[in-house]
Amino acid sequence: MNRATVPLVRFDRVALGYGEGLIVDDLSFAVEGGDFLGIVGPNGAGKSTILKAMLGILRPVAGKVVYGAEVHRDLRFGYVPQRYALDDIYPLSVRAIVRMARYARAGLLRRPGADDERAVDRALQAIDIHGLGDRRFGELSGGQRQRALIARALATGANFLVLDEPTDGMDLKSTHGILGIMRRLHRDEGITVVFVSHQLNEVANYVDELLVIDEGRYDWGPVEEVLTAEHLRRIYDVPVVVDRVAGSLVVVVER
Amino acid sequence: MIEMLGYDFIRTAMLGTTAIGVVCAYLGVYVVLRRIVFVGATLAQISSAGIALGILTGWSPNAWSLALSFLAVLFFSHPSFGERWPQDATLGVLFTVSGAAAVLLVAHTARGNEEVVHLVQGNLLAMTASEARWLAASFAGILAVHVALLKEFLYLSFDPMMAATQGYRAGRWNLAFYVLLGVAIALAIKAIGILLMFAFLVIPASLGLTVTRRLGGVIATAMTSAALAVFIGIWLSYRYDFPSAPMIIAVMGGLLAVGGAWRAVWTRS
Repeated sequence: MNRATVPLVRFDRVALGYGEGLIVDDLSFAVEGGDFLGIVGPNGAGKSTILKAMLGILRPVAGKVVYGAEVHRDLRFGYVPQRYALDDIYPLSVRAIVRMARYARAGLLRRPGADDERAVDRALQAIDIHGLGDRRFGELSGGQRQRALIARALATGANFLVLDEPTDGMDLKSTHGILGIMRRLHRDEGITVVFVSHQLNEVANYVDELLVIDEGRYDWGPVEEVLTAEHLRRIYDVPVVVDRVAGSLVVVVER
Repeated sequence: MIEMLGYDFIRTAMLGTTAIGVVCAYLGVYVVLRRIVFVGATLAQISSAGIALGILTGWSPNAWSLALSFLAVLFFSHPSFGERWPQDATLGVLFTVSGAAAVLLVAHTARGNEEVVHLVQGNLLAMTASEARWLAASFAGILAVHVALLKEFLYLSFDPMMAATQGYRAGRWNLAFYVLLGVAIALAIKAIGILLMFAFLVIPASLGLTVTRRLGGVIATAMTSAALAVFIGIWLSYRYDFPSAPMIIAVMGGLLAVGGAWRAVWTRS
C-alpha cells in the first residue's frame, strides 16, 4: 500500500455524543498525511466533538476511529483549543504556556530542561512571536493568543495540527494572518492540518479538503467537489450560489 | 511583641497556624485560579460536620472529617459533577445542609454551644505542642507533594483538554488535586475553624493576584502574607484581647485592602 494513501486517522461509521443524545451519527471520512482539511458547520453541529474523537479524548458511541499507527508510528498531535476556553486570570507568560507542551516529555517530577527551552524558542520563532515570550497571555490580542497556542502545539513536536475555531471572533487581518500561518506550516513544514470553523467562505479558500456538516448531513472531499451549489444545497437545505470574486471562492444563499 | 513569644502556648499556636496558613495560601492560588472557591468553602463545611460527628460519637473527629471530606472530594472531582444540575446549586445545598448538620450534631453534647463556636472560629491558643508539630509535619508533606507535581497541576488546571491529548488522565489528576485539598481542609478545620481555614484559601491568593503578575510572585506573596497575618494577628489578639482567628482574618483583609489600593495607584500612574 502506498504510504501517502494510508490514512493517519479514519472515521468508520462513527457516532458521537454525550450522555443519551447523539451529536454526530454514521460519519465516515479520513485524514491522510499532508492533508489540509477544514471541518465546517454551524454552532452545535458537532465539529469540536469530531476533533475530540480524532484526538482520542472522546470514545465513539458506535463505529470506530482508526489510527494508521503501524505505518505512521510518529503520529504526534498538536492541539490548539478555542482561545476562549482558556481563563485569562492565570498569571502566565506566553513562554510559560508554550513550555507546557514539553511537560509530558519532561516526565513526572522533572522540570523541562535546556532541550525543551530550545524547542520553545523554535516554536515561538516559527510563529513570529518570539518578542512576546515574556508578555502575559491574558493581555494579548485575540490574534496574538491564537499564535501563542499554535506555537504551543508546535512545541509538542507535532506533525498533525488540530485546531478548534482558530479564527472565531477575529477581524479580517487577524483571520488572514492565522490562516496564512496554518497554510505555511502545511506547505513548508509538511504538517497535516485539520481545523474547524463555522465560516465556509473563510475556510474554502485555504484548505484542500472540506468536511461540511449540518444537522446530521455531511459531505466530505476535495474543495472543488464539495463546494458546488448542488452539494451545499443538500447539506444546508437552502439554495446557494458558488462563485469566484477576485479569484476567491464565495458561497452565498440564493435570493 | 517579644514578651508574647515567651509563652509556650503562643509559640505553639503560631507554629501550627503558620504551617496551615502558608500551605493553604499556596493551595488557595489554585483554588482561586480554577474558580472553585465555593468548592473550598463547601469542603470546609463538610469537614466541620465530620468533626461534629466525631465529637458526638467520641471517636476521632479527624478521622470522621477526613472520611467525609474524601467522599465529598470523590463527588466534586467526578467528571459528571455540574453536568446535569448547576454546580453552584449543588454546592449551596451541601454547604447549608452540612453546616446545619454540624450545629445539630453537637447541640446536645456537654459543651454544645462552645463546640459550635470552635468549629466556626477555631481555638488556636488551645493547640497542644504535639498537635502543632503534627500539623506542621502533615502540611509540609502536603506542600512537598503539591510542589513536586506543580507543573502537572498547573497544566491540568489551565488546559485539561490539551493535557489530555498528551496522555494525561485529566480525571485522575483532578482527583489527586481534590484529595490533597480535602486532606488539608480536614486536618485544619479542628485546629483553626472553618472561617480562618476558608480565609487562608481565598485572601492571600487574592492578594498575590492583585499585586503581582507572575505565578511565582503570586505564590510567594500569598504564602508570605499568610505567615505575616498569623504573626500580626496573634500579636494584636494578645495585645488587645481579641479572639485570634478573626483577628488574623482581619489582618489578611487589611493586607488585601492595602494591596488593592497600591495596585489602583500603580495602574493609574
